[in-house]
Formats: sequence, C-alpha cells, structure tokens
Amino acid sequence: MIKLTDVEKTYMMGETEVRALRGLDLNIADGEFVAIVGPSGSGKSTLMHIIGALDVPDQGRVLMHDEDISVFSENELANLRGEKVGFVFQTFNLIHTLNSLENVTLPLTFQGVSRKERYERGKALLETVGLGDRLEHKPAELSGGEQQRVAIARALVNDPDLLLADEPTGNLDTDTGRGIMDLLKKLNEEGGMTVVIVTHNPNDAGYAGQTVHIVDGKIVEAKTATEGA
Amino acid sequence: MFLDYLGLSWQSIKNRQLRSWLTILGIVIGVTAIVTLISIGQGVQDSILNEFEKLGYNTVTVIPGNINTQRGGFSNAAGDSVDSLSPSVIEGLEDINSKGLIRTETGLINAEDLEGQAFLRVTGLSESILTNFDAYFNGFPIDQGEVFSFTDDEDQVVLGTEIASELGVEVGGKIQIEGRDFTVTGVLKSDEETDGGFSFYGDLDSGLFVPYKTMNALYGGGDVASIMLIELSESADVTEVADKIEKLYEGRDSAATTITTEEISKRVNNALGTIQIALAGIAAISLLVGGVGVMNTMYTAVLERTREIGVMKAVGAKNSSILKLFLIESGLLGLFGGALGTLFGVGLSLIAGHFIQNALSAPFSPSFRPALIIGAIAFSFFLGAASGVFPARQAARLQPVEALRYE
Ligand SMILES: Nc1ncnc2c1ncn2[C@@H]1O[C@H](COP(=O)(O)OP(=O)(O)O)[C@@H](O)[C@H]1O
Ligand SMILES: [Mg+2]
Repeated sequence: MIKLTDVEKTYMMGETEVRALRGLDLNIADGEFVAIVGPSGSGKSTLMHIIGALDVPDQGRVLMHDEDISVFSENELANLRGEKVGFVFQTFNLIHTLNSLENVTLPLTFQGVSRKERYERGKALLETVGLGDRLEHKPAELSGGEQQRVAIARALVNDPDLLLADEPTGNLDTDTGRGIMDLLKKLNEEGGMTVVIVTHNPNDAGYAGQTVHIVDGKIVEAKTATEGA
Repeated sequence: MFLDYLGLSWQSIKNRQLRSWLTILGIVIGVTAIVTLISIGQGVQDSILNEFEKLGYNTVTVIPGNINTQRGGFSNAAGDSVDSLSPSVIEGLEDINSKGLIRTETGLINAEDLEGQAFLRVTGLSESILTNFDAYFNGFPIDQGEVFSFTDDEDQVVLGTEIASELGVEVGGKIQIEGRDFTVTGVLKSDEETDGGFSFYGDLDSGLFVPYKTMNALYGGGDVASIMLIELSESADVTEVADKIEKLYEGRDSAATTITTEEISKRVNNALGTIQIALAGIAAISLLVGGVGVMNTMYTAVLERTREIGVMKAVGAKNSSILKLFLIESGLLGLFGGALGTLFGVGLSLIAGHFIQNALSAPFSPSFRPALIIGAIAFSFFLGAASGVFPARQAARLQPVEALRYE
C-alpha cells in the first residue's frame, strides 16, 4: 500500500541543517502491523509524518496505492488525511475545550458529515474503546489511558485505511499501555487495518509483523517476524 | 457546516471568558458611544424637523430684506434696513392657495394697573394665519376666553399670559393701545403649559395680538406686513415659486427673502449631520482600538492553540477550515461587542433622552433607526472578522508538523 523510495527530509534549526531522513526506502503492505524503533531524534516521527501525508519529503517518492503523494498540494494532503489516515500521538493531543464525543467526531466535522451521523459514529466508537459512559467528559476529566482511547477512537472515526501511532504508550503505565496495544492489534487483525507505530518499548514492537530500526535517519535493520511474538 | 464551525469557535471563546470580555470592551464602548450619539442626534433632528413639518412643505415664509446682502440686519437694495414688505407685490401669482399676514409694530400701551405707560410689541394677524398657519404660533393656544373676532369693528386684543399679568388684566378687561380702548377677549396658554411644540414667532407669553386690519387703523398703511406666510397648491414646485417671489421683490424698496420648509430641513439636516459625523468619528476611534484589541487577542489565540491547529490539520482540516474557524471566532467577538454596545447605547440614550426632555420641557425621544441598530451590529461583526484576518491567515498557514511540535 505504501512505498517510500530514497526519501530525504532536512529541517533548518536556525542556521544548522538537521538531516532527519537520509535516503530511506520502505514498503508497507496492506493490513500489515509495522513498528518503527530507534533512538530519540533518529527520525521516527518524521518518517511517520511522511507516511501519513502530514508532511512531504524534500526528495524521493512516497507512493500511496500507486499515487505519488509527495507532489500533492496542501489541500490534497489534507483531504487524504481526512479520508484515509488516522493519527494517534504520544501526548494524546485531544482538544481540551471539547468533550470526548466532540473530540472523536472532530475529523468528521471537517468532512462536513451531518451532526446526527457524527453522533452515532462517535458514540459507537467510544463504546468500542470502552468509553461508552464518558461521552460528555472533557479530556481533563479522563485518565491517561482513557484519553488515549478517545484519541484512538478519533483516529478511527473516518474509517481509515492506515492508522499511525507515535509512541502511543509512551505516557501510559505498562498495564494501560498493553491495553492500548491490544486494541491496536485487534483493529489490525479483525479490521484488516494497516497499522504503523513508533515505539521505544520492546514489548510494543513485539506486536508488529515488520520492525523497522532506524538510526540517524537511515534504516539499519528491517526484520519481519515469522509469526507474531 | 457553518453551524459546526460556529460551535467550535464558541467553545474557545467560552473557554477564555475573562479575556473575551476584556477583548470586546473596546468595541462595546465604541458602539455604545456611536449608538447613543446618533440616536440622540437623530432624535433632535427629528423633533426639529417635526416642528418645521407642522408648517407644511408647501408653505413659503416671506421675510423682509435680502438675507444675501445682509449687513448686520436685513436690508434692501439700497442697503437701508427694512422691516416690512408689501403683500400686494405677489398678487396674481399662480399656485397660491392662501396667504397669511403678520404685522408687528411697537405700540404705546396703557392699563389701569400699569404705572405710567409701556412700549410693547403689538402683532396683527390676518384671519388666515389662525386657519392655515397657526403652527407658526404653536397652534395659538387660547387658555381663557377666545380669539378676537375678525369681523367686528370693535377693538379686541389677545394677550400672552405674562403680559396679561403684568398689565393686571383678565378676559373682559380693558387696555389702551396708542390711546385706543381694547377689550381683552382671550389669554394664551403659557409656554410651560403647552406640551412641547415650538413657536416660530417667538415668545408668545409676552405677545399682544390684534387683528391685522386693526394694525392698519392704528399705524396706517394698508399694504404692510412684517412676515408673510404663503401656502401653495399641492402641485406647485415650492422652490420655483419661492424664487419667483424673491424675483418679484428684487430691486423694490422692500426686498424679500423666502424660506421654505424643505430648505430649512436641508440646513438642519446638514448642520446636525455634520455634528453627528464628527462625534461618531471620535467614537469610531474607540472602535478602532477595539479592533486592535480583537486582533491582539486572536494573535495570542493562534499562538496558544498552535498545537490544536496542528491536530486539526492532522485529522484533515484544510487551511481554509482553520481560516474560517478563526475568522468566525473574531467575528463573533465583534458581534457580541456590537450587540452589547447597541444594547447599552439604546439604554443610555433612553436615559439621556429623559434628561433632555426634562431640560427642554418638550417631548423628546431618541430615534433608533433600524439602519442604525442593524448597521452597528453588522459593522461590529465585520470589524471583528476583519481584525481577525491576519491572525487567521497565520493560523491557516501553519505547517501541521511544526504546529504539532510546538510546546
Ligand atoms: N519541524 C522540525 N524543525 C526542525 N527540526 C526538526 C523538526 N522535526 C524534527 N526535527 C529534528 O529532526 C530530527 C528527527 O526528529 P524526529 O523525527 O522527531 O525524531 P524521533 O521521533 O525519532 O525522536 C531531530 O533531530 C529533530 O530535532
Ligand atoms: Mg518522535
């Protein structure tokens, strides 16, 4: 489904260039569960953003279903994200003025989906992630694990082909983290959704079919598990 | 869609209530000032014009002298001061429905209660003045007795209330004008007792009124008037006839100037309009400050919500969606400021109107034109939205990845 060829990304930090990705190739098949691991600052998030059409590379190509999205306009990228991609972040990134239901349905609001349909989808998803009784709660009234579940529900609300999670368990305790990982695994296995996670946690990586190890913006090792760990 | 955006914008305004209130304060004050000033000004304008309209738009007032060559007083072509004109000059002019004559002279007055004698203004009125032009005398409101009869040869007088008490006479009493005996047939209502209105003639309380014919008998000359009021037929072109009248008097001993209601309304409108624009302009400065306040708040909001903007973009919000969200938010701030300011403005001018009414002892009410109310609110909305344009554009252009990294 996704094919990255010779992708490079350089950021400017004031005067200094930071080469976040330095010529990177990657293939992700439909329905795969991929873990991206590597030290802090190695370019994991940058890679994930490029896979998720949140950013475009300076060089190289990003094919999503055979379409080169590295040449997409900002609007085309936004549409692609809105329709096909779901993001989960380490810090949850919920909007604190909105309640769970409003947070979950926010992507649909930007798609112009009707209020009634939004409500139904949001409610169903919050029930799926076990928060059917927290619809009206604001993020501040939820625990970390609950917030991350709301964030996952939000990432799923547009029925994406691709779910991306940047250190989704990073701010959670081990047990809660495991719960989140089980949820992602279930979505991958039962929903056939392609899932890409960035993680520091070897436990988390164990859920993946393909593990991509990057250091200094380059893949140093990509291994495919013969069978789920 | 729009409603959803409205909902989102509303949430974030509500979320920082205190700051939102402070932000709209400038707009509230500006709009309050503008609505108050304009509605009071409009009220003043309305009540002045209302008085002139009582005279009617097809009435032409003719006064002696040429107002254009005026030198410290009305004067004729030769530069001599004139205080009368000949009504006969306009005889035969078309479009004239009726003609009212007013003649004023200074008369020697005697009365029993009066020590010695007095020189007072005596005014003669033709009958048509009271039938067609009584608005000129604020309705010529009789308090006691009745108006003199214009047909009787008997000498009769109507007195202003102040004069009546100074001369110590009541209805039925006698006074002497230029040595002739006059019976008081009526006393006018005092100015305070009439509910509002306005006498073009001036102070009625100190007036002595007799029939026009009697003036001729007292002071001679059959073709003399101090002021002539002319009512034109409905179809007449008032300005044109007024010009004709002035032409007829041109070069004569008694030059004349015409005044039309239309001309007066124009002048009143111009004068008051200018004052209002000047005042509103000053108030508008406070609006400008209010707009800058909104802009400042919105820039702060963009900074504070940078991460939020990143999240919205990550979940599919386009640049235009973010732009709309922020524009609606700043427009809403303007709208609330405008609505609140309008409310305060209406309240304030009602209170002020009360004081003005008491001070003038004339009925007065501020005028709230729909255009003012709607305009004030709509303008505030656009002011708010306009003030949000730059911050909103900044928000819309944020790179999602950068925005998400923002601490
Ligand atoms: N928007 C940016 N501007 C400047 N430097 C950036 C930006 N995003 C990432 N970087 C830099 O690029 C490198 C890779 O970052 P990132 O992909 O976030 O790493 P990771 O997620 O593996 O910790 C880091 O050195 C980081 O500081
Ligand atoms: Mg990272």
